[in-house]
This record gives sequence, C-alpha cells and structure tokens, in this order.
Amino acid sequence: MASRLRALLTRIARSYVLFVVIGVVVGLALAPVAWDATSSEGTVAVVPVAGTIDGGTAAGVSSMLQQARADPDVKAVVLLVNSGGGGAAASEELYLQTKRTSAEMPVITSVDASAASGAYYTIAPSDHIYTKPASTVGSVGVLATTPQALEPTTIVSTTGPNKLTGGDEREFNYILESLGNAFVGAVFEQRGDRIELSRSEVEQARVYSGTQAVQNGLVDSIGGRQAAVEHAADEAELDSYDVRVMRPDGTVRFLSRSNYVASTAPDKEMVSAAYLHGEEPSGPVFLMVPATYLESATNGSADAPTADGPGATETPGGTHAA
Amino acid sequence: MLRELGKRLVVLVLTVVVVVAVAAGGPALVQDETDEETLENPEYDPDTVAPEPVAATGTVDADPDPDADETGTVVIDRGHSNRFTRADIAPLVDALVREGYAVEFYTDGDLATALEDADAFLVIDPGSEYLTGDVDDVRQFTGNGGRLVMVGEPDRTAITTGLLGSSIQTQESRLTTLGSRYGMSVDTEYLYNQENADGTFKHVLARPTDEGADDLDGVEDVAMYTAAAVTARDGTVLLRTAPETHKSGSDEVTGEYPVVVERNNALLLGDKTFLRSDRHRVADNERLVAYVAEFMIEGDYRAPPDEDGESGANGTPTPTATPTPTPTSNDTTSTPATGRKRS
Repeated sequence: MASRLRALLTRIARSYVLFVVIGVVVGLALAPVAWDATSSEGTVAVVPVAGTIDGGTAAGVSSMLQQARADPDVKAVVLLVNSGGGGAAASEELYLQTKRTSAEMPVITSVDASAASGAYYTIAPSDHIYTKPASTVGSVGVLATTPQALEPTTIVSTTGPNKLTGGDEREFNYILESLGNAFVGAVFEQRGDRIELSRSEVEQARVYSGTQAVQNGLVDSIGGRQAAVEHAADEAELDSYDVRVMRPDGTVRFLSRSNYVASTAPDKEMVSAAYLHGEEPSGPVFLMVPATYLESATNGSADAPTADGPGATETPGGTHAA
Repeated sequence: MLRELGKRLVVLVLTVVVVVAVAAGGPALVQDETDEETLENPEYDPDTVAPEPVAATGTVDADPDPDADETGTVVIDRGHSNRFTRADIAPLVDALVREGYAVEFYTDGDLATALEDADAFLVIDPGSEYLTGDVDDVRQFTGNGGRLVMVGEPDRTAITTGLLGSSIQTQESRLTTLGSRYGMSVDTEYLYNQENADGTFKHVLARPTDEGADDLDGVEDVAMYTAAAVTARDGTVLLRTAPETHKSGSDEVTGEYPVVVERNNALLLGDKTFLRSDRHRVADNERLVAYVAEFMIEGDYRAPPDEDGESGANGTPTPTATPTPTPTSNDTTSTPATGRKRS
C-alpha cells in the first residue's frame, strides 16, 4: 500500500502536470497586475468645477489640476463645469490653471447646467467645449457695487481724498473696464478663431443657450460627459484608458437653483447672493456672475427678501448714478 | 571581538551616508522633468487691457457775442418737479455769473411774469409735463428773442429704499409738450458705446458735426453720461455721438445719434450730467458748458407791446427782436435743414 502510494507520488512529481497546475495558479494570481499594466495606456482625469467660484473653489480645482499635471498616468483632463461664476480674482486664477493644463495635455470641457461669466472664463482655454441644449453659457463681463461718494470728515480723517472710496465713480468705471477688457481679451485669445461674434457683441455680456452658443462659437458642440471623456481620450491618442473622477473637498455652494439641481456633488447647498457681496456693501467686490443669479438667489432664499434689499437693489448694472 | 564590532559600525555609518546622499541628490535629477514652464499671458498686456482715461482738464470760459447785453437774467425752471441738484448746474451758473448775469428760479405762479425780465429760460429734466398755458408763455418768450435751453434725459431707473424694502421706479423727462411745440423730442432709451467711451459703455463720447464745429470751436470730444438721443425737425445738430453707438434695447443697430440740437431760439441737450461739477472738465465738456452759457447770454427778450402777447404764442417771431444779423424766417417750420438760423 505504502509502496503504491510512493510510486504514484513519484509519477506525479515526474510528470509536467503538477508544474502546469502550479504555473496556472501562480499566473492567475499575477494576472490582474499584468492586465492592469497593459490594458490601459493612460488615464483621463475628470475635474469638476462646481458651484460659486471663490477662493476655496479655486484652490480645490487648482489642486486637482496640479495633481493631474503631476501624475504621469494622466494624459488628458475633462472639466465638468456647473457654475455661474463667482469672484473675479478666483475666476482668473482658474483661467490661468486651465490654460497651464491645456498647454501640457488635452483639456475637454463638458458643461452641465451652466458655465456663465467666471465659469466661462475658466473653461475658455479648453481645446473643445461640449454643452447640452439646456446649458447656459456666456455673460462675459464684470460687475461690482459702485462705491458711495464719501468725503473725509471730522469723524474719519484720511491722508488723501481718495482714501475712503479709492476713487470716484468715473475712475471706478475705468477700473471695472480694465477687468472687463482682460476677460474679453482672454476669451478672444483662446477662442478668437472660433467665435463668430464681434468683440463688442461679446462685451454686451449676453447669456446664450447651449445650441445658440454652438452657433456663435462660444462653445464647440452639443454633447454630454461621455462625449467629453471619449473626445479627451481621442485627443490624447488613448485606445484604452482609465477614467478617474476627482472629487472636490467640502461643500459646494450654489447661487442658482438650476445649477444646484444639476450638481452631482455629494455635499451641496444653496446660498444667497450675500455670500459673494455681503449684506452691507462695504466696498467694491468684483464679481463675474450674471446679475440674474444674484437676484434669483436672493428672492429664492428662505430669508425674508424684503429686509435685505441690498442683494437685489445694489446689483450694479441695473442703474448708474450718472 | 571589539575590532569586529568596529568594522560593522563603520559599514553601518557608510551605508547611512550613501543613502542620505542619494536621497539628497535624487530630487534634483528627477525634478528637471516636472518643472513647469512659465506661462506667457499676452492677453493681459497692461497697455491693451487698461484703458487710457479721457483727460479731465480745462475751465469754462464763455465768450458771448460782443453785441450781447452786458447784464441780464437767466431763469431756471424749478416748477415742474425738475430733477437736478446745485452740483448739476454749478459750473454753468458760475459761467453766467462771471459774465454779469443773474440767475433766478421759477417755482410757481405765472410763467410769463417770471420770464418778463429774463433773457433765457433753462429747463432741466422736468418730472411733470408743461401745461398748455405754460407752453404758450415759453413760446411767446422765445418768439420775442428769449432763449430756451432744454436738458432731457433718457428714462432712468431709480431705486428708492425705505422701511418697506426697496422699490424701482422709472423716471421720465417730461419734455414732450414743451419740446414738441419746437419740433423737438427726447428719446427714452439711453445711448451706449463700447469703443468710444469715458471709462464705461454708458459714458458716450460725442463729436461736433460740420454745422456744430462753428459754434463749438476747438471741441473734439464731449463726454455724456447716460444720454438720450434728441431730434429737432428742421433744426441743426451740433453734436453727434461717436460711430458705433447703440441705443439700449437695440443692440444690433448702431449709429451716430444727435445729442445736442438747436433750432432758432431753442437748444436741446440729451444729458444733464456733463454739466456737473465733477464732470464738466472731462474731455471738452467745458467748451459745451461755455456754449450753453453763451447761447443763453445772447438771448434778448423784448416784451411785445401790450395786448399783443398772443401773437408770439403761434411761433411768429417779431423781426425787430432779432439779436443777430442772421436773416430771419417768419415761418419757422419751413427753415431749411442745413441753414442754422436764429430768430
């Protein structure tokens, strides 16, 4: 009995079957690694630009774009935009970040509910912009509350006449105009070859629907996220690729109900216009937001809209003192 | 035994040194690839982005016709809910006073009586229409050599904040009945220009026409702040906005809209803000302010003989009251569009 068992074992040991079996087991164990190593030629990073653009949003998106640029696996970026803009300086920061990313790899944008004003500024350097028919884009311009005319008095003393206000209304308009020129100039620098509108038509700061924007060249075509991801992979010449969806940290804040509804952010909230310019205008806040967003947010918020009139009434662009 | 331990310690130390050295030198070798290039931003070139401000220098220096009276009176309308402040008229009043003219305000009562001793009547942005009797009084006044200056505004949105929140009201320049009797009208839309402006699109620049260049000698640009287009049938356009000017609500249409028109003894302007203390020096506004003062000073109202007051109301000027040697036309409606006549 024992000798027969030994003979069998010897036979098995001498045959190749055992080694083939062991080989298959070990090979299968290593297969996923090998599969991963060869199946994907690179990664398409999806970077959401969601909610009101303030310093926090800008820092979050900048950090995601920096990660994308630093990661050798990431070969293309898709910007998933759902924002009506926000602060002027924060929007400019995002423009510069997108421009830098676009210089290194394909950047394709997919617009959700809107990419207006500062958000349009952000995506202007994209290689291709997709919108949906119901998206809104445009509103290329800047607004700010005009400083009140004040003069130094015996209560508040200053070393110079403009220390209180920074300059009179006329001078203030020159400041605002230079911000607007930078915005319009950047849009034309990036998309001048595709925009069918004249410079002064763009300066009029209209909002357009997705289909209108395709017609006038503010965006390139109609399509959703999937189209944008596929286009990005195509531009990066990736036949097989991974998609990595990056997530912003913290709460995403929305001024517009339509943006809020469209957002897929896990943690989102509606805020009133006062989030951007404060309850009491204490000085000019340069905003790149369609003025309608400021009004609807104020009226739509749960707070009594009658008492805090400044939200809607101080919206510049409505009237001028002159 | 101790020697053996020493050898191993030396090896340990050497190993640490080598590892640290590699760690220190490594990033320098790797970093070359991750260094990001500097970004060029030609779109932010300050010379193209920051607009050159329109100069705000100069002083109002009225130079009226030598034949004009040395002294006189200008009446400013305060009786029709006119919207203007002292700062709006200060430079003009200053110019009139320096030329020896007194300024009075009409608040209520008989307009004809108020205008009896005046040479010119200034109506700025009235909030209520003129009644027929008042229009007749003004017609009688200009028909006999008095000068009328009307300053209109486009419809403006005014925001008032009170205890019950804020309300938005539209303010209209109610110049329709008075202006229309002179064949003049003020548009309701504001003008804007995105290329030729003083800082922002609503601060349009206007330039003298060929006819206006005689009166507005030396004027290149006048800056007007939320101005309305004005018209005068058979009148003379003195200033038109720069090319590519739009009317609000007509974004597709551009034109060169008249903003200052003159017809016989009436002058109509489409903006009051250029007169203001802090705006009257911008561009060549001081010259236009001076011209308005000259136009008023050159008026010379001669009251008609008793019981003949009604004839002036029909727009028939009295030839003897003509202050300038320009040929007069008895029928003002047939005055040719090209000829600039004051009667």
